[in-house]
Amino acid sequence: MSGKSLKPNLALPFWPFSKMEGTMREPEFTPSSAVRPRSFVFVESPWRQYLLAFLTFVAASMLNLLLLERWLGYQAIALVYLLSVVVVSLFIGRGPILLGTLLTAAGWNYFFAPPRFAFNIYDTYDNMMLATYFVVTLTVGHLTTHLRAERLAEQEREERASALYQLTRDLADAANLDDIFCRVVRQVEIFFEAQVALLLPGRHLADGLTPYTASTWAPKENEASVAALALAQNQPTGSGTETFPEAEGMYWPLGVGGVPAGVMALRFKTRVALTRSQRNLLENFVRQIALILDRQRLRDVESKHKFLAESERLGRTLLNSVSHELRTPIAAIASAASGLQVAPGLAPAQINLVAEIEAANNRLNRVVQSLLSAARLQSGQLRPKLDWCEVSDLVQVALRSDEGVTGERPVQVRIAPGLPLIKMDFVLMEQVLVNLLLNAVVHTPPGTAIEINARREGGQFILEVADSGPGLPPDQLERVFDLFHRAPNSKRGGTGLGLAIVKGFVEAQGGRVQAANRPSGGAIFTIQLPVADAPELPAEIL
Amino acid sequence: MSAIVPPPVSVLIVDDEPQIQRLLTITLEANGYRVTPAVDGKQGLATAAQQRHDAVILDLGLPDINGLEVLQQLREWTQTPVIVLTVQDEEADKIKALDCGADDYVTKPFKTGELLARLRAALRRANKGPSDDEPVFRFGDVEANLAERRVTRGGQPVKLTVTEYALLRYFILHAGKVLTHRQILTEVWGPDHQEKTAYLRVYLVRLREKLEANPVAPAMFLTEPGVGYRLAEP
Repeated sequence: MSGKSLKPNLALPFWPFSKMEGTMREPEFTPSSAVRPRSFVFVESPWRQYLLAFLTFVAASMLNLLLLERWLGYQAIALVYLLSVVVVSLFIGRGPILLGTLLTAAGWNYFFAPPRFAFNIYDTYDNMMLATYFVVTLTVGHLTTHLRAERLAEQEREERASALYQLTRDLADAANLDDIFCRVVRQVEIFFEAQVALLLPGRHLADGLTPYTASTWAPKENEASVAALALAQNQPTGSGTETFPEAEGMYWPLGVGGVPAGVMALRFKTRVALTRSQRNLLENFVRQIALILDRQRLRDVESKHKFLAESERLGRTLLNSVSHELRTPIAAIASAASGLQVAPGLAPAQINLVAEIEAANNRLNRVVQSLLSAARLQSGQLRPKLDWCEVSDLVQVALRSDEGVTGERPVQVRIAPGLPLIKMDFVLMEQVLVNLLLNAVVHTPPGTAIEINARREGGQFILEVADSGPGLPPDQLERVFDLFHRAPNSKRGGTGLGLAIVKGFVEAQGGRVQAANRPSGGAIFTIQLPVADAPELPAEIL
Repeated sequence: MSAIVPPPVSVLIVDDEPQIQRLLTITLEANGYRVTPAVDGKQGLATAAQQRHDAVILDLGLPDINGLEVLQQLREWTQTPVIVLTVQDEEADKIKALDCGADDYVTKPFKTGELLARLRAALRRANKGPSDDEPVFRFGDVEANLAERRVTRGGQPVKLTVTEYALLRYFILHAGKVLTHRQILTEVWGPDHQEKTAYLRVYLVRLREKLEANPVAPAMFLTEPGVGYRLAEP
């Protein structure tokens, strides 16, 4: 992997960092020192330990030579040396302890053991003493080093745990996504002494990853592909990893299982490789952040659903009560007028007047019905009930509804023989057909014919309503289906709802509707519905 | 015009709209019915339990209990004919009401004559005992003799398949009543075929071709849009 070049891969999304430069926030190092744990990245330098070992030897030698020699025997002096090595071994590593041991042993031998100021030793007892001295100091050194390593590890574990705890608590308290990101950035900055950028995919795929506003660092443009790779492979990339280790930043995908939600980019202040435990901690951090992100995403989705359901319920209630209030008086008028119509002893003029009331009420009812249908369409509460329907039945029902929408007009119905059953909503299609017929009746001269054609063309069911009137202005063909649209100079008598409802109802069933002018004159409205696979029929019929 | 029905037939009207209630009362009383009003579902159920009625007119949109609920509770103990009042766009409610045992429905706004005709038809069907079944059904030049399993048109025998005959028979036994797709499919094809509307459509085309004077403009087998079919009464 290290062979890969750092040149941005053009196939991967690229993010416009330049846009972000002005908005970057300065890092906020505000937490109290009590909260801030010891740095992991800093490692005590070894040469200081060796210096400490040497200084200890010098100090012990001085003490022995200048002071203790007067009262103690040369063998007790060895014990003082031993004591100094044991004490200093609490602070230094194995190598420096060995150096201290060698120096103090040599010092004791040279300065104190007879013959003094020479490295020879005559006494067997002194030789034994020297050997024991080595064994004891080295054992003590080993034990203290080991203890210290244990303590360090323990401390590190504790810090890790408390760091995670801190992060989890912080994230749990966060009110929203913005808050979460701010807290994440701050925590990661503190624990890893690194600058942090949270890169999230833009609204559109082509936008690539965009640094979140809370970020304290913006990766260079040429590292966009490294970040994108982290997202694509769901693997950490960049500095300190196997993929693009030359990169300035380290990129961690933020994801639990599935697809990562974004990438966290870190730029460490000191470029030292992460230890395994640091890496583990970072991994834990990332996991926590990803979990919170996921939780937040679910919460957002849920609240959006709740809102939608609530507004839908409200809309339905409103529509129902308006519909009830409008329809009740119309029903009362219809009932009263029709009752009056058959009442005995009415003069012919009175009968005609009642007929006028009925006609006006029917018209009003149609308008209210159209308004309510349009409202249902607009509020998205239309749920078509698609079922097998027979086309000639549909046409007959439409022609006879409202006591004959076409009145005295000649109507030619042509239904292609062998037309299969069509899957549609009978009631909606009846309304569609009635609206198209009413439209034709209103906009064409009395007495002109209206045609209804039904046939199948390939996978489409075609239903046409054609008239022999003046036709539609060519520039209006697209717009006739718009809500409340009325063609200029068109006759009075129409709300501009009928054709909009036709379009809405047809499209709700997965179909299309078009308006055109016939070459022979007159307008033609064409409905197309997909023909579903033939329904299963009993063997007796086939 | 007024039908003479001695003794007066009593009708319970359950509707929360005072104006509709008044209009129905005026119309029905003018036609010789005795009317008991109820303004909501609870009162309707209580009144129905206290005194016997020959028919119930029930508005589905009641303020307290859903009209369908009232219908179900009524059907738990009485077979009194029930005609429901509904509004347009509520085909699902019409179907539910019919499946719950309503005898017929009238869509608002309705004409008085239409309501009275439906009411008379429902009462007639309800008062007809099982033994009163006329074995011969006549419509135009079509004659169906259920006892002899013989169908003729203009005196000529009409050949029907087993299913076609079963369908025709079911329609004749419920002449004048709206039958939902589901009811017909369950009765003729069995409960496993409730959703197979395509069967019904195809067989209706067959029956209309064989029995209607003008199969393209049927007068006998009437389509109730989105709900079902009704065999017109002769």
